[in-house]
Amino acid sequence: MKQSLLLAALAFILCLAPQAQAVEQSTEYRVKAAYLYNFAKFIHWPDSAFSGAKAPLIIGVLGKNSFNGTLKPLVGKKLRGRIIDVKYFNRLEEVSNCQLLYISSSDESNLKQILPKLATRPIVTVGETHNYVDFGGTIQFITKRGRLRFSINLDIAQSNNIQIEAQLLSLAAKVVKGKK
Amino acid sequence: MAYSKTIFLFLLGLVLASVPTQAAETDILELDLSSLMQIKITSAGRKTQNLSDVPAAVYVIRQEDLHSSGVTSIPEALRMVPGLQVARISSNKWAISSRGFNGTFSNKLLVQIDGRSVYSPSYSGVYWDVQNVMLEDVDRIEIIRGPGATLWGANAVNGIINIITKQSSDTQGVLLSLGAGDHEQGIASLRYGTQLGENSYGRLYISHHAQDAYQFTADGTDSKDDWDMTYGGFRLDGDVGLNDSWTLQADVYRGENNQRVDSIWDPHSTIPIQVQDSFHPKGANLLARWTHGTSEINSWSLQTYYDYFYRGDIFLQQKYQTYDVDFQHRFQFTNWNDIIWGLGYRLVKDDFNNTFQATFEPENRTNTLLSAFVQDEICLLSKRLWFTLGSKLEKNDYTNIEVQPSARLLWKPKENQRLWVAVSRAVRTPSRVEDSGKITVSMFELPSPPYPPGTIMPFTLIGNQEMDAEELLAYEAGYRYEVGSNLSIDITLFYNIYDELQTYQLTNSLQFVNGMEGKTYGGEISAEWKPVPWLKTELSYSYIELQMDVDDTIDRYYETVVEESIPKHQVSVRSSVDLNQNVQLNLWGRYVDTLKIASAQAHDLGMEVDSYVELDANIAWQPNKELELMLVGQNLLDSHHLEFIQEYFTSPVEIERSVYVKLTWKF
Repeated sequence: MKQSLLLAALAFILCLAPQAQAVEQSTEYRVKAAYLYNFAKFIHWPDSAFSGAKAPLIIGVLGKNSFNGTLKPLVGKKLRGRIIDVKYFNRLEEVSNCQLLYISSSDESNLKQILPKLATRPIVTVGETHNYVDFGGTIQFITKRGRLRFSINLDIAQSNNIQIEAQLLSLAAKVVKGKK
Repeated sequence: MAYSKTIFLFLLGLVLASVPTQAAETDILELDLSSLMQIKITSAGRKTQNLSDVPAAVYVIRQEDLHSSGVTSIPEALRMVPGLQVARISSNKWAISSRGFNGTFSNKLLVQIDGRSVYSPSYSGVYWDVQNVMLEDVDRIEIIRGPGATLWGANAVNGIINIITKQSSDTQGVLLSLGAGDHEQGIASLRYGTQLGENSYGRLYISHHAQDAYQFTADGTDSKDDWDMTYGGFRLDGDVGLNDSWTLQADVYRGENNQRVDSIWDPHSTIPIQVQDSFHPKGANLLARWTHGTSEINSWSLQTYYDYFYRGDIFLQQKYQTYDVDFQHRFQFTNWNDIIWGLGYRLVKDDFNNTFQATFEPENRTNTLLSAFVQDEICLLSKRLWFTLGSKLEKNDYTNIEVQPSARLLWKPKENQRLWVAVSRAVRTPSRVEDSGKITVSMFELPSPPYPPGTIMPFTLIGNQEMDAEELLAYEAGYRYEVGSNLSIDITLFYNIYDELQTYQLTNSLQFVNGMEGKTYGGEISAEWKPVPWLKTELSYSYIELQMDVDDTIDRYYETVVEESIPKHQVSVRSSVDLNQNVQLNLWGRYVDTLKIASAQAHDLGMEVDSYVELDANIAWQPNKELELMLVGQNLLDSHHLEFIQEYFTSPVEIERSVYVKLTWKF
């Protein structure tokens, strides 16, 4: 008797249960988007990196786009007189005018081919593959204790006349410099 | 009851008074770099996913399982694990084993908290009442059924339980939880975690837990086994550069433990004395660990700990001090070999206070244990087939050198399927009592004549310095299948062959001997099903059969007790339903089969432990992110039921239906 009452109650509750569960947006990529914005604030590109004095500052994403629209709010924001724009590239060949480039970690072996081709252009590449900055990337995301940190290869930046403010360098988990 | 009602109303008032304040969704984009560096982006559960690639019978109790089950202690949580036998003996005692051989003194299980071994060297079993951790700060409990001796060493014969607490970087802020009910006489926990420097985190906690007595099976009177435990400690975690991290943690505890001891023997009488015993177990530990590594598969770690343990039951006072150092190194050798090797040293100083009831000869002793292990996981076919071969080598003071090898094969025919088989050898080395203990079982009068009338002699159970290690050769197989994103199934089978099992031989006394061999076989199935986002169900079923065979010189009764002290069939079904965004309903039903002869005492009493079905249910209400109120009912289907009968000392106790309410506040 007791059991059947219980079962009836359970059945009742199960019928009532509403289908309410918000899909939580990936915190990881929201944080990464915010990092990209902050990087842009503390990095100074040479004028030659832009097509003109009024040209926008372009943040690019190469490869698989996991940002799911989290970069969209950046579009139109102003930074040092330039408007921010976001572009998505499927292949390396499509990467044209762009200052900050996030390289999706989809293919590690590709990186060894991609990075040398970008290394001579005034583009700050951001990645997250292990040893990314040692391969010739500029900024690498690192996960430490479940939190996102970053390391910087200052040599690559300087060789393209890109200046990184000391404040950003001081917060980096690791700065590679003087290896060249 | 009125007491708990008042508390309930008080807590309810408290919740209602604090009007839900939805934390404003901060715009992450506007945060500065130092704030971004504080945001947690990965859930703690991520690391455990690769456990499905372990070629062994692994089960993980995650933090969410601990929380949703409503359990208030580690032993109660272990009931959800397939292949484990968990029986509550009384309010403060549990019999827990993996794949058979259950009892108060079950001894084939290795239990560790954050890498610190907690089984007692006196009888190789675990005093579950003093294994207290603040449940909210547990990251996960990893359970391996079957031998894991190659990596973990002696005593990891039938299983390993690794209780892993969260890193202090994952326990930031204040957590306060308060609870009470009819059996739960008070749960109070307070934790504070903070970031100490740019690269270091810490937490402090203090906790108190009190539980009421149950009732005796015989007459329903109060079993006077109420108890409480107060414990506290800290944990610090930090990073040095990108590749080094460290942990320093410590805990202390002290409790009051009550029990009615039925038979304390007096040297001058053949009639046992019944005593109401009250004692205060206490302990402390300090652990430090340094880890260096560029990744998980290329790292080394050095860990050391000190552990102090004191327990003063009326029949035996025991004190242990353990010093332990462990080194582990994992690296890749060519693209195909993933190698782990390690060295360990442990020193255990014991100190007993002998009584007529129990004596140890000598009264204090220092034992050392040296160990080394190496294991190579060889990738035979890229992303498809792996072969793992390894062995542990141990040198102990009882049986000298023990070798514990294992070979395992893991095959991934498809990305969502895994098939594994394993053969391993494991040993359980003798405990202090088996080696050099003496326990008075009863007193008897010698016949007169020839002896003068009234000549009384003790009948004792004595240790045996010739004891060898118990041996196991285990064959295992398993299959894991992720049918879809919402259904996964895990099946394991085992066939275990034991030799040199410890039993008792009757001469002038009863003596510990290696006089039994046997085999066990069975399987476990668990399935997790999430048909819709708001419903999660887990079903598990365990089956086991034991066939023991004692030597000719030993009473067959001892094999029967081992065979019949285990439930052959066990079922557990757990469901979590999100009724809406703030309310969750959790149900947990269990079936445990009959124990025909739970123990020697059960045999003497001619008492069976009947099969039972029980249900735990709770409802958790989270008005906002900071607060939660939980109403929990445990063992709801019967006012009381029996789960086990202890071997000696105490009479059978009934586990009662109970209800409690708990408030948790995080900020």
